[in-house]
Amino acid sequence: MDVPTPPVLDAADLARRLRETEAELARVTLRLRRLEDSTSVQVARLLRGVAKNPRKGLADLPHAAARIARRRRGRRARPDSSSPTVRERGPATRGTGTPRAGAPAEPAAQRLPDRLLAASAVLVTTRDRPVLAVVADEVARQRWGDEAHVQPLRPDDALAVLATVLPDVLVVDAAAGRDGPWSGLGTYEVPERDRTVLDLLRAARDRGVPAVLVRGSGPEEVPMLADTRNLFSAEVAPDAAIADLVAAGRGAA
Amino acid sequence: MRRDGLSALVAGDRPEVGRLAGALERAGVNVRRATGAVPAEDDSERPRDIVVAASTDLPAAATAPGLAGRLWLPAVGLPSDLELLVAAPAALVDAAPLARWVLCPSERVRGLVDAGLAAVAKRTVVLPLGTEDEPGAGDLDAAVAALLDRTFPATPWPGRTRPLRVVVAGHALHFLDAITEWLRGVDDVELRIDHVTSFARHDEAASAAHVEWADTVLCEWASPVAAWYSRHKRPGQRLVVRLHRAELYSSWWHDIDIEAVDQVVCVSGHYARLTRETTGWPAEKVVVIPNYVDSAVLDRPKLAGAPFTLGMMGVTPRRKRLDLALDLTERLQAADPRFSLHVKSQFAWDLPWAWRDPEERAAAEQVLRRVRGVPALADGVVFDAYGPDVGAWLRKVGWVVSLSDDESFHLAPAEGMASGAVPLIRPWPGAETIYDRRWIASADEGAGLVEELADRVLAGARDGTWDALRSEAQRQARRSFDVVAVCERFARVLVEDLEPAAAEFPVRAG
Repeated sequence: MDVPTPPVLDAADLARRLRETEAELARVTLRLRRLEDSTSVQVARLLRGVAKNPRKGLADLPHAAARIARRRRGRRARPDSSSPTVRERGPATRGTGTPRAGAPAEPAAQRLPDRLLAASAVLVTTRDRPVLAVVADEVARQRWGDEAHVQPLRPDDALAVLATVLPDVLVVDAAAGRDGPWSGLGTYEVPERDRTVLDLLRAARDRGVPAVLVRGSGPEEVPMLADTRNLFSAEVAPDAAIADLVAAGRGAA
Repeated sequence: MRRDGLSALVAGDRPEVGRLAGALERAGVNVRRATGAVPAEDDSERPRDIVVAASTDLPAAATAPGLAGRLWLPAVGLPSDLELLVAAPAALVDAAPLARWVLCPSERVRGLVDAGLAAVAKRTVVLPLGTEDEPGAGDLDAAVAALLDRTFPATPWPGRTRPLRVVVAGHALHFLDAITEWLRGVDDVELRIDHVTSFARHDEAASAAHVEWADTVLCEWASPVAAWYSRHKRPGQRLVVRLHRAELYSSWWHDIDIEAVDQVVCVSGHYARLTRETTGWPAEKVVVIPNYVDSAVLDRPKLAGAPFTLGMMGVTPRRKRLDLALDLTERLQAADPRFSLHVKSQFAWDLPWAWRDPEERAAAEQVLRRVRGVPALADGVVFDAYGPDVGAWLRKVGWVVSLSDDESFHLAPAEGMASGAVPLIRPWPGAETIYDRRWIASADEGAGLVEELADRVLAGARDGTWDALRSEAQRQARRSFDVVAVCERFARVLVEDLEPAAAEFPVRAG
C-alpha cells in the first residue's frame, strides 16, 4: 500500500517563525532599553535640551550632568548591573558545569526543543489514519507504521513535538530503553529519560490524549514504568496489533 | 593521610548512620555519638571535623552555616525512587548546600539525587551503607577510609612552626574550587579568599590587608589584579600566577612585574611554551600544573550501552566541531545502528557572545537541521540538558570525543577518562603535551580522521578491547589529572619552585 507522505506542517513552521520574531523583538527591545539608558544617549538628550532652550538648559546643566554621572557610577559599582564589556568580560568558561550568570541570548525558556522542532523536516499532519506519538525504537515504529501515522518522540524535543502534533494516542514502549536515544528508560538509572516520560504523561493528560504502555518483558527490567502504570490510560502486550493498541487508547479515553 | 586527631559528631538513630559511625571509629576517627538530632551546642573544644546526620536529623536550628563543609549527609530515609525522581525531599534540599559529601547507599540513588539537586552533583559518593548482614561491610570500611584520605590530606609541609597562610585571589575561582576545598582540609594551612569584583577591579584596601597577612598569594588569572599584587607584594612573599589562554592573547599580562612573580602556572606544556615565546618571561618561572578532575565523583559503573555511546561535552563555539562528531556518528551508525552520540552543552543561543556572531548562529542552526534531517542522526544523536551532573551523565558514555580545532586543555577527555570512557582526540595543537599519544588520531581532518576514529571505536566495541582501553585511560587520569595528584602539585608550588615545563606532560610514563 502506498503511504502518502505527510506534508510539511505549516502550523509548526508558522509557530516557529512567530517564536523567532517574538524572540527577536524581545532582543531588540532589550537593546533599545539599554541604549536609551546609556550615558551617551543621556548626555545627547541633555545637550539637545540645552540647544533648544539655552537659558533653561544651561541653568539645569550642572545638576543634570551630576545626575548622569551618579547613575553611571552607580551602574559601574553594581557587579551585575550590565553585561561586561569585551575588555572586562574576562575569559569564557567551558561548556559544562554550573551555568554562568547573566542574561541569556534569547528569552525563550525552551530554546533547544523549539529549535529542534523547527529543524524537523516532516511531522505527522494528516488524520486519515490514527496518529500515534511514540517513545519506541525504529523496529516498533516501522511495525506500527503500516496502519497508523507514527510520530517518533525523541528525548530532546519530545514535549514540543507532542504539543505540536497532538496525537490520538501517546505510546510508550517499555522496550525503548534497551538502546537508542531512549537507552536506560524506565530503569531509574538515567533519570533524565524517566523524567521526560513523566512530563509526557502529564502533558498528554492535560491535553486529553490517552497514554498506552506497551509492556516489557518484566517489571524488574523497567521498574520506573512499573511504578507509573497507574499514570497510563491502558496497557497492551508487546505484540499487540495496532488496532488493539488504538482501541485501548480510545477506549480509555 | 591524616586520621589522627580527626573528630566526628554522629547524630541520629538510623542504622545506616550507626554503621557509618562504626566505620569512622575503625578508621581512627574520634567519634562522639548523639542520639536524635544534631545538638545545638557542641561540647568539643574546637569544631568537629565531620558532622554526620541525615537530613531528617538536622533541625532548622542546626541547619546553619557553621556546618557548611563539615556535614557528611547520608541520603537515607528517602521516599520511593519514583517520588525521588519527581522531586528531592525538602529536608534534603535544605541540608544539601551544607554538605561536604552526600553519601548515597547506591548508584541509583546517587543518580536520582544528582538529577534532583544539581548543586550537589559534584559532591555525591556511594557508600555501601546497607545492612550489616550483607557482604560488603568490609567494603564500607574501605570506602570510608578512601573518603577520609580524599577529604583530609596529609600535611604537605611537615615541620612548619605555624600554618602556611595562603591567599587565593581572583574574580572567578571555579577552576580552583577543588584546590581551595582541598586546602581547607589540610591541617597546616590558613586560607583566605580575595574574591575580587571583576577581572580588572578590586578593593585595593582589602587586597593590601591580604598582602600584609599572607605567606603566599595565588592569583587565579594573569589579570590587572595579579599585576597589582606583583607591584604590592611584600619582599620575600611568594606570588604565584595562573595564566589561561585568554590572558595570553590579551594585553593584560603586560602590567605584571615578572620579577616579583615566583612562578607562572600554565595547564599544558604547549601553553607554557607559547607563554615563554609570547611574554619573554624567564623559562624557569613558567611551570605546568594540569587542570583537575575528581575521580571520586566521576568514577561510576558504566551502563550497558556504553561501548556503543559517544559523548561530547561543549559544542560552542563552532571550533569545537560538532560537525565532525556527526560525521563520526553517521559512519558508526552505518556500521551498527546501536551507536549514538550524546551531547551535553550550551548552545549559541544560550550565550550572548556567541549569538552575536552570525557565523555561530548559522553553524548552530545548520547542525540542528542536519541532526533532524538525516535519519541516522535523528535517532543517533541526543542533546542532553546542560548542567553539573557530568558524573551521572558519563555513566552512559563509553567514548568521549575531543575534535576541536584548538584547545588550551579541554577537560572533557580527562573527565571522560576518569569516568572510565576511552578518549578520541583530534590532534589539535598541544594535545600531545596533555594526553597520551595513543588516544590522539594521526589524521587531522576530513574523511581520514573520521575513518581512523571509527575504526578504533568499532574495533573496541566489537572485539571487547574497550574494557582494556578504558582501564588504561582511567589509570592515566588518576595519575595525571585526579584532584589529589593536582592538589599535591599545587601544594608544592605554594612553597617552592617547580621544575620548568617539559615538552610533554608525563602522562605517558608507565
